[in-house]
Amino acid sequence: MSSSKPFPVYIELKAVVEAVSHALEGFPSEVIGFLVGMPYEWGGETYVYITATLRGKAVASETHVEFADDSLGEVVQSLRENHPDSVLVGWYHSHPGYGCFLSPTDLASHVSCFTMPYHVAMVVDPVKREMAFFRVRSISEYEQICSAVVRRKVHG
Amino acid sequence: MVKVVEVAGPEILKRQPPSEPFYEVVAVDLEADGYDITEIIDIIKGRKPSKEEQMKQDG
Repeated sequence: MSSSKPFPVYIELKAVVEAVSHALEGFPSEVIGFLVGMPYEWGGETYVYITATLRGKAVASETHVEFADDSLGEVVQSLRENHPDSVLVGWYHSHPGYGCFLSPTDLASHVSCFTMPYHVAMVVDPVKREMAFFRVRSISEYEQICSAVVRRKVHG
Repeated sequence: MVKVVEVAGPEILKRQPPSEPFYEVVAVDLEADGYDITEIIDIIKGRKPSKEEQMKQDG
């Protein structure tokens, strides 16, 4: 069994499709949601395996998005009911037309809600047709990270 | 009275990342410069069949 260094992020294709669909449906406004999965360790490194997404109820415009006040309770309930063996491993949002990066507001949101070192942020731009993952070190420092999109094979 | 409880994350188990033979690696961002999601968008918008649909069409 190989113990080579893993990517920081593995995401199932269906989760990518869910997030991109959400971004397209919300256009021209930004959309926001959560990444569902689990953190694991391999080869001395921690990675996250994202298996699903949860849409967040948001207050959004073309350049700004934030969670609605009553949204987090619904997300927690949905997580418990539909993904009982998973946790939130990060969040995603869209940047329609202005590329994949984390703004100061995005960084502030991330550090306030996602405090574990394995938590990641995903940005989708449905206009430029780009997607990227990030890890946040502090409110002023972040890095774009490598990742892999995978699909579970069905044997039968 | 408000009680502050420290919330810990889940226990991080050792597990090999998704790979062959049970998983297919569809795309990789090796250089941390992001993905082009044109194909995914085209499939969602119905302009292009997915790989499974294409295989069905090809018989």
